[in-house]
Amino acid sequence: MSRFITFAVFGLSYGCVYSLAATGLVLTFRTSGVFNMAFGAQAYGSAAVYYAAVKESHWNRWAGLLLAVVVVGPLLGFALDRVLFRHIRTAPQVVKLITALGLLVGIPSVAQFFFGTDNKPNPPDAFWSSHTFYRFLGSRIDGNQLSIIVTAVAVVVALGLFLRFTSIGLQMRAVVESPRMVQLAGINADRVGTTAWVLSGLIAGLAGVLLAPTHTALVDRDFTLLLVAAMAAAAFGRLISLPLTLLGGLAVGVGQEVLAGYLPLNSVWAKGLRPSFPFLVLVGLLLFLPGLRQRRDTTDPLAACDPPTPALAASHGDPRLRRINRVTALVGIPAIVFLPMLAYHHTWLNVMTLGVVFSTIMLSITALTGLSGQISLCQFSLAGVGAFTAGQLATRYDLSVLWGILIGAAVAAAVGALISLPALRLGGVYLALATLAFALMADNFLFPLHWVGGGQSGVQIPKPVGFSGEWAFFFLSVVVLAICGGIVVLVRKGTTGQYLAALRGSETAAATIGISPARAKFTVFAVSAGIAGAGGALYGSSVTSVNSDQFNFFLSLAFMVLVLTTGVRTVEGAVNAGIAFAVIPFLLDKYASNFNVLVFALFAYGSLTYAKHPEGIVEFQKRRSLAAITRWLDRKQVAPT
Amino acid sequence: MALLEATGISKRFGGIEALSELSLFVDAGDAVGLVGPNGAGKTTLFNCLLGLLRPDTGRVIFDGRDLGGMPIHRRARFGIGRTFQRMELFTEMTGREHLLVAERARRRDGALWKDLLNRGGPSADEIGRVDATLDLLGITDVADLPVEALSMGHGRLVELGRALMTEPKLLLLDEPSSGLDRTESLALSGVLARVQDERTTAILLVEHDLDMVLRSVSRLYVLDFGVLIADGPTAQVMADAGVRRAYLGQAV
Amino acid sequence: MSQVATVRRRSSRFAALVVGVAVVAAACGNSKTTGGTAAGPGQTDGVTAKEIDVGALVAKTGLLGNQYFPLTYGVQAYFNEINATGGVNGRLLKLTKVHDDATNPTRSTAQAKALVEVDKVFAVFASSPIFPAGTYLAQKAVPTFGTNFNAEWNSGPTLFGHNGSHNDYTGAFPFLPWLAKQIGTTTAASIAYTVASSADCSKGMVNSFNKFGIKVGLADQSLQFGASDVSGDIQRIKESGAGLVATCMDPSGNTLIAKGLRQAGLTNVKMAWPNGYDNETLASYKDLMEGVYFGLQHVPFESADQVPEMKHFLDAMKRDYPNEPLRETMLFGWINAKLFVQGLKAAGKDVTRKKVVDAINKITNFSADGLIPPIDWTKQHTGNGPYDCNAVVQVQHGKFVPVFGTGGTPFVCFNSPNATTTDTVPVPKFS
Repeated sequence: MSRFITFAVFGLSYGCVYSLAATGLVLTFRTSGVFNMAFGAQAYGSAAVYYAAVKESHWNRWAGLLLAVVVVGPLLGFALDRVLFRHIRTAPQVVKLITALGLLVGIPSVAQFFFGTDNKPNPPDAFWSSHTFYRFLGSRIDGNQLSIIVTAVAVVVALGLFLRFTSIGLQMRAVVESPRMVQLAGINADRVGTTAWVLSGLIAGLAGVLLAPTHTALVDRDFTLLLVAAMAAAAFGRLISLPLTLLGGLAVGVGQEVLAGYLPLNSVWAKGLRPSFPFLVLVGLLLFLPGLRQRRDTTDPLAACDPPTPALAASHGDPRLRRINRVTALVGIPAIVFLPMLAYHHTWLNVMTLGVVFSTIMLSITALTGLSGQISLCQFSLAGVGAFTAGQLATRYDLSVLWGILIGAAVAAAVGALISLPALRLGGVYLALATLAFALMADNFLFPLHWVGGGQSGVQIPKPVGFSGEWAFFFLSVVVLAICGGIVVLVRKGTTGQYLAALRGSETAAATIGISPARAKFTVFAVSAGIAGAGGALYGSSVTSVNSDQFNFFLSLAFMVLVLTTGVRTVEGAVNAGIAFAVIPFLLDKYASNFNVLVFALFAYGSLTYAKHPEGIVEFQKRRSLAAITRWLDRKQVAPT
Repeated sequence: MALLEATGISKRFGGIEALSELSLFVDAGDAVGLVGPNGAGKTTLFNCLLGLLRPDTGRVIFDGRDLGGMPIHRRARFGIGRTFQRMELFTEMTGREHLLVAERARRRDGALWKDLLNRGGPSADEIGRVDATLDLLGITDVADLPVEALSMGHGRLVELGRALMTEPKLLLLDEPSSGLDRTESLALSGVLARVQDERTTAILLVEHDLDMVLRSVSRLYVLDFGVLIADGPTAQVMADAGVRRAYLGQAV
Repeated sequence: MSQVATVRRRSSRFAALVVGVAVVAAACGNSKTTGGTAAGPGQTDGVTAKEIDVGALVAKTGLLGNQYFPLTYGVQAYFNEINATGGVNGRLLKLTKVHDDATNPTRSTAQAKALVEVDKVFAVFASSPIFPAGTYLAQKAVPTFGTNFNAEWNSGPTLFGHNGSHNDYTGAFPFLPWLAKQIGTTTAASIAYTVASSADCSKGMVNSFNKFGIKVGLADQSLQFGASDVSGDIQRIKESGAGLVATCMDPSGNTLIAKGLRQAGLTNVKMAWPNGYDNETLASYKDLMEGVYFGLQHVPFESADQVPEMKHFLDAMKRDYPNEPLRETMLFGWINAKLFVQGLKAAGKDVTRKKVVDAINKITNFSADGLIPPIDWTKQHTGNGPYDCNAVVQVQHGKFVPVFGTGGTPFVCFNSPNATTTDTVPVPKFS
């Protein structure tokens, strides 16, 4: 029993950080309906400011805390609300998720640019010193852990009282149902929302400066993981009840420690459960807590009062535009592919090959998100499944990689189908979370298995006979891309595509004509996973060998936001995304290597504008210029000759 | 045995009792109306019949089956169709595409392998049936415009057509005339009448436009604060004093 | 044309494509990698009358820090000395291209290709936590020198790691068990990440402890990279009474364990770290590193008094890179450069890649003038060497202090290969 208490006490302080973060999440969720996936990044921001102030500029600790927690934290929250989240308050859940994803991918990039990527060892303690120890329930905890516990409890209590007993608290609860109605009652809905974000930012700041000293160095990755546990705690509290949220955080924290303490080490259980425990809790809660599932998109009864969304920038039907598009493609594509070879020779061919290969993987996102509006955060992991399948088949059975691509696609499709099964009934945000859970499990458990990922040395994936030359392999990649593109187009035109278009328009109405949402989404998820697998096998062959660390979840997130930027509804968007992913880092590296770090921020840009431009910011700009060309052509025709 | 029989339906939202021990029935081929002031619970009842909400108590029996917790798309396959008060159209699709996808969904013979072999397009048979329905509704000339470009009247007709393609036994119409002017309203009534004649679909109509109600339905239920306060043949119910009080708020 | 007919035509075209792909796939196999010292093209790339150009592929940026890039400093410093006396056979040695692989496997191969096919260097010096480029470089038979941290170093006979090209990750070696006994404990622990390389290293440690009579109190290979909850491990260490904790992790994991041990009051438990032997890490984590042991496979920087070549190296680095903190990879670069030059000299005036590689592969006792236990290049591409020696350094009062050295050298040596006890053997003379 005392052993259990020891683990429980260890888990208590982590649990309190999770609860603290969760209250911040719940606060913004209740008032703006956004699952603020940037919370971890906000916490990191405050922690980094605190670190810089105290360790590099040698400020007094309390001055540093004031800056980081009371100034920077709320300021970040305020900025996020004003610039981003206020504008998407009434947007569907998925749009909010996408915006938050963009922040998750982009902010660490920006933070690294400003704060540098140097090691930041020994983050400073926040309130009480971690070198002083206290006896607690028969165990020792240090000052920092104690301050975490005290702060978390204080914040949760204070916030609970605030929300329940003040008028602004009530206003916050009303705003998420219908901002318009709240405004009709004479309350400034925007101000209420902003208050929530400012408070949440303060909490993020606290979470950041408290969490940082529990690690031995300040690394942004740790704050992303904080986010997951916080989401689980928030889910436990049904996104409503603060006391339950506190309990949820403690449960996750203590549960993690107890698992670590009692599970037989190095067992399959330990390897699988320890890293993904918060996720499994989250997914489990989402699957089994009925209260959460009923949270369909709350439709504002007064939404009809909002002006309709602006029409797409250029009509598709205009034949002149199609011709211009075709000509641009016929001239532009060979230009991009061949001209730079004059300068960069082979290197450019390699870059282009990679671009084509990545485009194939991006196509899987087009197939899924473009057709069904579902978000999957594990596409690159599925690509990894395809790659390792092809590699293992080639290494063990000397099977041609061409077969490997086909079989890899099939295996990935099967895995994708399995993942999607439980999550499909939930849809939207929950499917995204389930796929993220899979990506993490793949990173930590599946790929490191020797028979999958080949251990240390990874898995070799040779080029198929006849395609080992650079030009030949480039040609093969283009063919694979074309086939996958063809599949996407055929699916879009066919039954599945029609059903998905209907579901996109109105899921309820589609159901009333007998379309099973789960069935259509399942089909497209499997197809999308298959394309990812094929792309992955091709990718593996192009880089000759792959290892278990290569397909990490962050890249899946980055691919998602990149395709959203370039346009998720068209094959062209996927190709643009793939080429961009290969070319931009190459160019940055050659000519502006200081800005290398910002590459992900660049990719994430489009997801931030997704609400206004769901067709993709790049696609939007393209249509705008096409429309401008049309107007210019019209003027020329009208002008008297 | 009635086509639709709902017995003892209750539904609470927090402290509010939206529906209270409600029972109604609709026979095959019948045209029944459901009226009542705003907030009476009409849409809530529809949502329970459709499967969007689960009632706290009571049963819904349709065509001899207890619908229980059946999901919406399965209820659709058994023959319940619906239109919506705030139109739920498929954005970016044309009117014709709405009807085509509904027809495809009715046949349930679409498959991924067919799509991949480029056999996923509409067959001549499907196109024929859609054309016929477009004709019935009188919207053939606007059928190929994206639905966002249609007037509200045409939009409602598209919604109706979409529901009709699935050949429902019972059509739940939720305030179809809302947002329509008088001409459009009359046209809609005419279409409803033709539909009833040609296809013997049963209709359960929620409406505020009392003229339309009088024209279109033979039996009427009146709902107020979640409770049925009257039911019976249309004219008789309309003359009832309690109904007038609930609607007009004054003693007559 | 009726719609139905059009539909059928399109579908048959598609079907033909599908069949075509399957036929091609069935017929073909995979291309085999060539490799070996075939005297292919590029034998004298980068060689002119006056100079020999070499390139470097190092991890300059990326998640795992900046310890790899300084390899180039060691290489350049040695080149400077050689060039000061006129170079090798009248040719000056130039490190002309340094490419960053950004710790990204895709870039690794791409940058290697750039070095070989575009920059056309004669040889490549490489150091990175990831090395898929190794497969490519072996295929092209390019002489490659660098840090033997990756499995790919044994891809071919033209790849020369700083301490051999073979890695026996899971083999049993007596060093750690011997260290445990020196500390006075009979129980040890090993901690690693789930990442394959880390986990395999830990398995090797466990095999070693088992073979040489040390009880394994804890063997954890399921720590998540980036995890912060180590209390379960700390508790088990406490309960098992382990006196030595050896890890297979990076500084973030190592410091986490150290912190946990301190927090639990386990001040008598000592740690052995696989990395972190540099002043920067020491400055960052001085109090956490107190008492930590490092088992080096080269002469410690602090033993310059015992090994003249170390003094030579330190002077050269102070002369050429006075502002750079000392790192092991600098030393490995120096050692690599020495091997390269030795090969160049043996190859003679008509230098080709094949000649250099063949010359090196004949050497049986390369120790870079005493800096490392001698390497036998006839064996150590694919197997362990004839010497199993370690130099031990401990952090005492915030400084690195060599300990346990014998016979006027910093090293302690064991029977190799296939030692059966932790008994040491006399340290042979490294020339």
